[in-house]
Amino acid sequence: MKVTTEYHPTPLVRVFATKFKAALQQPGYAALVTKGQGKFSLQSQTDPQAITVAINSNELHLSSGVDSSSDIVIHLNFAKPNASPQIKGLLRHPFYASAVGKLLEFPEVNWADALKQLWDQHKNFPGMPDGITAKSTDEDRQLSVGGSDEPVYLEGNAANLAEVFSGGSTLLQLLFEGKIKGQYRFQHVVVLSDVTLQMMLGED
Amino acid sequence: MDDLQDWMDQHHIAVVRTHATNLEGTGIGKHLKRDKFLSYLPKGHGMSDMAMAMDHTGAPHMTMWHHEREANLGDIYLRPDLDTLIYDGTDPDLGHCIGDLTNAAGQPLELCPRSILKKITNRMSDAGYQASCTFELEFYIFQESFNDLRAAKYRHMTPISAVQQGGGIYNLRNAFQVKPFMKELVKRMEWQGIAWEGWNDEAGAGQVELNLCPLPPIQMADTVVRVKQMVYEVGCDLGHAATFMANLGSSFGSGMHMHHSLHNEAGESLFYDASKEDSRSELMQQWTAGIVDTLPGAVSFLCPTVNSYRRFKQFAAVPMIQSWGDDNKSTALRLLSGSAKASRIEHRLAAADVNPYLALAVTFAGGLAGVEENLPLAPEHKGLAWGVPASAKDLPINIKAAAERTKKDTLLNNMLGESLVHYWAKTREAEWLAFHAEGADTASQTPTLWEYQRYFELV
Repeated sequence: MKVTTEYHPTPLVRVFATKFKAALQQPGYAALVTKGQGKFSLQSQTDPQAITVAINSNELHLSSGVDSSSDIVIHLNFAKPNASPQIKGLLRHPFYASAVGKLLEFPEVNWADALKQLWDQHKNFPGMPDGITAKSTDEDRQLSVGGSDEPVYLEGNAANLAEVFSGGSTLLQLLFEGKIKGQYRFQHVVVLSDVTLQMMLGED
Repeated sequence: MDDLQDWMDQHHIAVVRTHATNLEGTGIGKHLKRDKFLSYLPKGHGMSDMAMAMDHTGAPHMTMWHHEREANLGDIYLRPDLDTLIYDGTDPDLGHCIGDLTNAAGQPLELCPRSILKKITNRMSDAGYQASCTFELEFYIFQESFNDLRAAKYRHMTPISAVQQGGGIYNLRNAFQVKPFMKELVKRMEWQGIAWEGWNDEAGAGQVELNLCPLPPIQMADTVVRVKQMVYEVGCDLGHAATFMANLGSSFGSGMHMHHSLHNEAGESLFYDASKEDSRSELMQQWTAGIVDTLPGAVSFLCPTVNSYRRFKQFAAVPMIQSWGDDNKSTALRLLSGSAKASRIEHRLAAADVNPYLALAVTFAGGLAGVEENLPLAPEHKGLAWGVPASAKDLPINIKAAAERTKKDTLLNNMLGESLVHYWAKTREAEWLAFHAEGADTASQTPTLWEYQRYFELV
């Protein structure tokens, strides 16, 4: 299954393209995508952002805005995607809505695997710290990657660590929200926020 | 120092306003008591390094790093250039001094726009080239005050002159309505020794164009930032909002055309060659070739905001393709070669919200690259450069695409430095991201409230 986007994709299109690409790496998700063939749109309840996802047998294409030919339109808060989405077209396409609902339950990411992957792919990014130590407060588990010369220390629950290390949110965002805490130099929080932003947007 | 004290005594200076610009072109500085200003010389006063790394709203750059930023937040310095010290004229106690941003050791910062331009002009001087340049400043003036428009969320804006609603130009009745504002502006400019050539009613209702006298590059860019600040202050004092926002929804955006020419130390034109049929010297051809070659990469510097790109419309007096032409106002570069004195390049791409230091730096970087690389000049675009079929010459017309072209431009990376170019491109990508993520109606065909709130008073 190929994930494609419109020319000059918006940030939201990029974010979802990255999510779909990552999810398609997981066994079983491709089958869910196949069941989701058709066209659906996601529209923000809080601002004018929207995307349309068109799925056929071998391509998942994302574009910005709500396509008038979408089978269903899901109104949701992108910052809190699980908070009471409203679905337009549910009565006409109940099975499709159910399939799309499953499609949007992206596979859970293991934060330790995500941290290792982040480090492997970005350790040479300019300005990165010598190492990162992360601790999941709910699992009471700690992992270090890289060197031990003044590493960045981050802690939070497993879900929030997974979100930041997999590029689901920027480090900065989760620090502002108090979901992640730690010890770090200003430079390193900026660089790691840059890295996580690039991951989120699927930048090369 | 004694001379400086004497000058300050003579002009009753009690307070000095220091003035630098960050990458966005925002004026930053302090009002210092005279003795404090003097005690800080020559290093200048400290200020948070955040000042050079923040967006229009004052939000710090938190997703891009530059090696000159302090690892745990710290100070940079604003080193006054005493050659720029002038008296305000309106405020009897106040002096103004423009300066450069430096580190604690007094070395210029790579992210200081004035220092970026100095670096390029020093390189030009080493090659024997002196530049003379000027800008055409376009801006809109409204009946309402800044406070009124802010409170009304920029709805119901009344142009100060709208006799010719359809969008005329040079209309003297429109000009008469603008005159009280412009009279106050040019009075203050003259008090500060800023030389101007003229002003006129421009194509949009309430739009004015102001022409400044040519100067060397640093002095010219200093003058532009001073005049932009002055337009804002006159607006505040007279109760009229005025803006350099690039597009307000009408057909006529505000640009900032740049004219420049090169001459040697003796003041002889390096662009003019009477022996050539077209009177253009080989240097002018190579210089032009470099600017044309780097045009797509330069767009993000010349059109720095999301709003800048709303100017890009066919037949709206904005260049759409990578092009040059002989006295052609539809191409990006308009070459004039009628005489040694008049030989120059008019660069027509920059938006009114441009940072003038960066605009000149990126243009000269292109020109220098053309000479150093001995680049051939692409064929002239003959005829109108609007409404032509799509091609590889199309300029990037959104901020994200323009930033990507900037990052990939090898010549600009070589001339300006890779770390600066990449940092700049990241700031533009952050602007793009903010536009999409902060609630703007990105599909809107007219400027959004987000743009007005972010740019109207600040560019």
